[in-house]
Amino acid sequence: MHFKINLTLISILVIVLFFNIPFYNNWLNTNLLNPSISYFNVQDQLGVEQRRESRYGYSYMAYKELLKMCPRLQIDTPVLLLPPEKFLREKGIVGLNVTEPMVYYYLTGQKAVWYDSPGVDKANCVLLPDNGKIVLKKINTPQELAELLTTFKKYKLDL
Amino acid sequence: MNLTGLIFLLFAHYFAGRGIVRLFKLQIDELTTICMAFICGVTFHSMLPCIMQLAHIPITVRNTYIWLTGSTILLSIPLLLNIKNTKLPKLALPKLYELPYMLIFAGLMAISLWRCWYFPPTPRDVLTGVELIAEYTVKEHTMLNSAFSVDLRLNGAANNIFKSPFITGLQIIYKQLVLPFGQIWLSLLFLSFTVWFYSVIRSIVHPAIAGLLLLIYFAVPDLFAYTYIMLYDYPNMVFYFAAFYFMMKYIDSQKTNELVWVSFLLGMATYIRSETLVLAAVTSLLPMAYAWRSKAGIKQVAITGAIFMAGPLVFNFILSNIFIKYLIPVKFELGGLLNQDMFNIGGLIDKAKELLFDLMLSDKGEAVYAHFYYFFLTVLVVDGIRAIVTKKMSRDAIMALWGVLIVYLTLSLLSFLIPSHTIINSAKRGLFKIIPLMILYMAHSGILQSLSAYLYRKENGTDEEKSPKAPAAVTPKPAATITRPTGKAKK
Repeated sequence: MHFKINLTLISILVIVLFFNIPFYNNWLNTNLLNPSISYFNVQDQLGVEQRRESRYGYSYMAYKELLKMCPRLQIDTPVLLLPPEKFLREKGIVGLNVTEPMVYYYLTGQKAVWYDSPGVDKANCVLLPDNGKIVLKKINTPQELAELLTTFKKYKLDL
Repeated sequence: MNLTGLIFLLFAHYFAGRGIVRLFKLQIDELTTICMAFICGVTFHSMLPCIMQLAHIPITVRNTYIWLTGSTILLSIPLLLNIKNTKLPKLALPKLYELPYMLIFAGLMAISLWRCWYFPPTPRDVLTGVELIAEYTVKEHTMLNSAFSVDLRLNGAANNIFKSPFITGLQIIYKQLVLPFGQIWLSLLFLSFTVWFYSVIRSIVHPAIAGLLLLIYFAVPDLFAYTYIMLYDYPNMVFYFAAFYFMMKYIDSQKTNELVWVSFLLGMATYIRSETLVLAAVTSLLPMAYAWRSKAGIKQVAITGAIFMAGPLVFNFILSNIFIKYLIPVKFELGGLLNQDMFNIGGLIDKAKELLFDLMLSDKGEAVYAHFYYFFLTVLVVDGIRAIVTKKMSRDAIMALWGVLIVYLTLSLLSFLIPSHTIINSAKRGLFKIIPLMILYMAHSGILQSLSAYLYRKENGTDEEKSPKAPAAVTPKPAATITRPTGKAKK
C-alpha cells in the first residue's frame, strides 16, 4: 500500500512538473483554463445564433445587419457582388473580412458572386465603402454593374 | 439539443457497429469491442444519407430515422445470432496512482466535449465544401442541392466539395436528429478512441507509465484541438492507428479473419481520406515482408498483400466511383492536381527534409505538436543505445518504428506528388497518424518496459533477485488481446 501511495504522489508530481514546462504551462493557462470564450461567461449565450455570433465574429454580424437593408432597398432576392478585400482595405475598411461566395451562402442563405464568378450579371447589390463605413447599395442598371466590375477587376482576388 | 435523438443515435451506432465487429469473429476483449463498435457504427452511418440519395429517397428527418433503424437492425443480425456469447464488460477499477492522470484526462475530455457542442463548425475546409452541402441537404432534403449553385472556387479550384461524404453524412444525421451544428459525433469518436487507446497502452506498460504517455499524447495542442474542430484528420488517424495495431496482432497470429479486419479498418480510413490508399499500399509491405521472412512462399505473400489492400481499394472505389461520381454534380479534374515533375527524386527528398526540419522539429512545429517529437526522440535515442548494448529490441517496438517511418515517408511522398497536399496544412494534420504510433513505440521501448517491470515487481512485493522473470509473469493481459501462439518468441 505504501508503494501505491508513493506512486500516486509521484504521479501528481510528474503532472505538476509536466505542466511547469513553459510551453505546457502556457497551453494550460491560456487555451484550457482561460480560453478567449470562457465556459463560465456564456451561460446566457447558449442560443444557436449567439453561439454563431461569438464564433464567426464581426464579419458575420455585419453581413446579417447589411442583409436587413434589402427590403428597404426593394431587393427581393439579393445577389451580392463581393468586393475584393484589397479594394476595401484601400478604402479604409479594415474590420470586415470578405468571405467566399460559398461561405457567404452558408452563413446567410443568400447568394453572392465575385467579379469573375459565373452568373455575375445577376448581381443586384454590392458592398461599398462610404465614409469609412461599409454600406449595401442596390445595383440599378447593367451599366452600373459594368462600372463596378471594371473597378473591382483592378484588384486580384485573394481566394 | 434533442437528447432523445442523441440517445437513439448512440444505440444505433453501438448496435450497428457491434454487428460489424462481430462479423469478423475477433477474439478481443469487451472494452475493445465496445469502443470499436462505436467507432465503426458512427463511420458506417455516415454513408447512410449517401445511400438514401442514391436510392432517390428524400433525406427528411422521418426517413433518416427509418433508414437508421433499418440499417441498424440489419447490421445487428450477426449480433442477435450470437446473443448467448455476449458478455458484459468486466469493469476494473483504476488503481490509486492512476487517479491523478484520470482526473486530468476527464478534465480535458470535458473541455473537448463542451467546445464540440458549443461552437459551430469553423474550418474553412468544411465550410467551403461538405458542411455547406450538409446544411442545404437538411433544408432541401437532397444532397444535390442549391449549394452547388454558388461559385465553388477556392484557391482557384473547387476542391473541398470533392472530399469524402463522411463528414457530410454525419452532419446531415446529427443536424436533423440532435442539434443544428451537428458535430458531436466527433466527440463520440474521440471518447471511444481515447478509452481504447489508453487500454492498449495500459496493457503494454505499467498504468503509471501509461498515464504519463497518454498525458504527452493529450498535450499535443493541435491534435487536442481537432478533437472538437470537425475535420477528416482525427477520424482518419483513429482508423489508421487501429488498423496498424491490429496488423501487429495479425503478424503474430496469422489468422485470416484478423487480416480481413485490418483491411476493413484501412478501408474505412481510406473512405475518410482517400490519400490513405497510398499509405495503405506502403503499409502493406510490412505484413508481406513478415510473411516473406517466415518463409510463407510467394503465393501466401501475394494473398496477404491482396487481402490487405482489398478493403482500401473497395472503399476507394465506393468513394470515388459511386459517392463522389453520383453525388457531386461538378467535374473533378485530377490532372491539374498532380506534380508535373514526378521523376525528380530530389524534389521528394526536399519534401522529406521540409517535413522534418521545417515542420516537425521547427518553431512552427512546436506550436502545433509542443515538445512531443522531442519526447519521442529522447526515448528513441536512449532505447537505441540500450538496444546496441543489449542487442535486443522487441519486435513490437520495431514494428511501431516501421509504422512511424511509413507515415513520415508517405506524407513526404504525397506532398511531392500532389502540390496541393501542402506540408503546412495537409501534412501537418496528416502527421496526427504518427503520434499514436510513436506512443505505441515508446510503450514497447526497452527502457520503459524495464521501468514497467520494476514498478510491477515493487507493486507486487517481489524483488528482482528472487524472481527474475517477474515482469512477464505480472504483466496484465493485453486489453485488445488476440491470442498469440505461444511458440513464437519475440526477437
